[in-house]
Amino acid sequence: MLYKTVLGLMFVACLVLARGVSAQVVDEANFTKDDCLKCHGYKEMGISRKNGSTKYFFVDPQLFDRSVHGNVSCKDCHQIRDIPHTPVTETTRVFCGRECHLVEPSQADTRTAFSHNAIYRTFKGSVHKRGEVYTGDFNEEDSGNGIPISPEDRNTDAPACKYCHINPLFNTRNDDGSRAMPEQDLLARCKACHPGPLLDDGTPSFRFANRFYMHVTHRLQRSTKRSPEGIVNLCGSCHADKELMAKHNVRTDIVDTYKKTFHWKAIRFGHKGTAHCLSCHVMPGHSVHDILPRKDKASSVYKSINPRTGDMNKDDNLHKVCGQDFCHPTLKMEEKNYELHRLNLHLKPSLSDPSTALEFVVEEIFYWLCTITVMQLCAWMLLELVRRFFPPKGH
Amino acid sequence: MSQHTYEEEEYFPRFTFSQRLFHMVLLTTFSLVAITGLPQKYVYTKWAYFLNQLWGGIHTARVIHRIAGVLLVFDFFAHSAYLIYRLRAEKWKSYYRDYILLPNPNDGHNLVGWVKYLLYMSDERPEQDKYCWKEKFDYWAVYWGCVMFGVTGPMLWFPHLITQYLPAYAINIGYIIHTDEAILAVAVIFLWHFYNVHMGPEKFPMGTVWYTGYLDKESMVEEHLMYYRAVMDDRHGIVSDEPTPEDAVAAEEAPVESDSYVEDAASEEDVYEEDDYEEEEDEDDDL
Repeated sequence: MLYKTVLGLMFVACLVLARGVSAQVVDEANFTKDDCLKCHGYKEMGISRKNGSTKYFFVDPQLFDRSVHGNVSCKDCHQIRDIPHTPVTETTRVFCGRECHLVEPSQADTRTAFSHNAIYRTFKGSVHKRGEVYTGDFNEEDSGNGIPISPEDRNTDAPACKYCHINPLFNTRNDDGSRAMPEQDLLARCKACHPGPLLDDGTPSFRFANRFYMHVTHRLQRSTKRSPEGIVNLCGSCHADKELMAKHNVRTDIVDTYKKTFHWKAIRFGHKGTAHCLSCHVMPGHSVHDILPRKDKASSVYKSINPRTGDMNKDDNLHKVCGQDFCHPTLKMEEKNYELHRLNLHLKPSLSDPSTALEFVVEEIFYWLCTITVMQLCAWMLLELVRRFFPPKGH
Repeated sequence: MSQHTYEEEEYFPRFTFSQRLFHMVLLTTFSLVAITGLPQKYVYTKWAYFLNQLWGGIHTARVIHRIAGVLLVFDFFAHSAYLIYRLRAEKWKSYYRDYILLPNPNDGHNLVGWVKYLLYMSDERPEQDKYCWKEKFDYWAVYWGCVMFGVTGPMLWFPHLITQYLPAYAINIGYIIHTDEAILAVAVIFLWHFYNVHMGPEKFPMGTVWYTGYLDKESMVEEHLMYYRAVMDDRHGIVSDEPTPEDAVAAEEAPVESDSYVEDAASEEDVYEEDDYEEEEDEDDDL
């Protein structure tokens, strides 16, 4: 409701006046997180939209400090230059490819600012490439080849960064659920040489050691990442939508056929180390943002078989996926068991498909064999019971 | 056909110790493979998740499933070897009755008779031999199932090895056969077989022949009347006027004799009279 928006702004103005902060452009050099938290630290901070939904702008500073972006200041992501600020628009929204104040550790000598821009460019070149516009410092809207994309051609159905990524909290639990060594004991040696910035009382914060430890362990432990079932559900949130997939000329039975494989069954039963979507569709050693169409020769699931001899061609990539060290390392592609890779995980048996016709026939035979046999035996049992309770006369 | 009844016999030996042992191993291993395998097929159900967790997870369930499967196949081969051994010992003579449950024309007649009886087209229950058509069906269904599982199980266990000799879609076919046959086997055993041996009104709550090896007289008369009469006739030294299956085999092998054979069979030595039998019975009572 419009009146609720107005009330919200009036509330903010009151807060500002109560805090004594003048409504003027703030010097960027003095712009700190505390200035933002003067308003966004209130739990009731939010607006009600016209569609009836409510969006809260409350930021818990303790939670945020514990998250993976805890070291990033507000202004690094949000293009806010004055307090109170104007409502966020399409041109001032957060862009994940923006550079922040952090220095890229591997390029510290050149003081290069850290940015997710490389990931964004990789993602734009992938099968999920998105044509939405991110303005501000980054004003490029093209197909990845320098060719502008018209608004009508933009693929607004493709996922953006926030569709898959959240701002997770650091979690140092081991894969089996147990907690790792107590941080105090583990970091004692690190803290001896890396005290970090001092606190107000003059004691070392050890912030660098703590964050470095959490930064590394967060990415090494599988339990801190999205679970395999979570990954399948995330990918399936779009790929199981048959209308959406049909709209983009993508197979509509991908998720259904995957869920018939033993990989999904193991995941469903809680096993963590089984193949999920990213295990096969991301080339080993590559970023998960670099998923390519299966017909692309650089795709991890690019299958190249000589149709005449049935042998694997040199440009085949699929065998690299299945034969990874933690999957099926005993696979030897030079032997004939490459036949195993003819098993297309996403095939549904059909009489019209020569490669699956025999499977379809066997499936139908056993289906009707089971059905007819069980039905006949049940009918026999029923007739016997009836005959037993209504015996012939004289018995 | 002999019309006599006997009062002194209450239990009849039916299964030897080795036969009961084979069955015990079979039921144990089959139950294990079923309860560890079915959750893997119906992974999307709550009961499957519960059972899987009961076993300690998917990997433990797979280990138990494979061990039980190996024992099941071993039991199959051991039983087959036992059959061959017994047949050779008996010189392949009595296979119609005792050691191989081969279907014969009598089973067909019985089946037709039973259908008529159940559909109220006849009031006479067919008289069945030592192994009726139900038991033969159960026996050969298990035989068929063991072959199916024994072939497709290793295919799923060692796909890398199998695909060196077979096309990859053989794995998919093996999976279809293995899982669908499991459904059929579980349904037949836990519905049909359990009804016949435990859950039927005359057997409830449980039949005991599978571990005692003895069948009571009531069940013998009810289910195997033809065999019951033959057993009692044999024990009392009474020669039935009907040739036994062994006689039928011997008759086929013997040279064709003259028609005087019929007259010879009507001699006093081969035919018993009721008066003779009653005298014998009186003698036993004196004892």
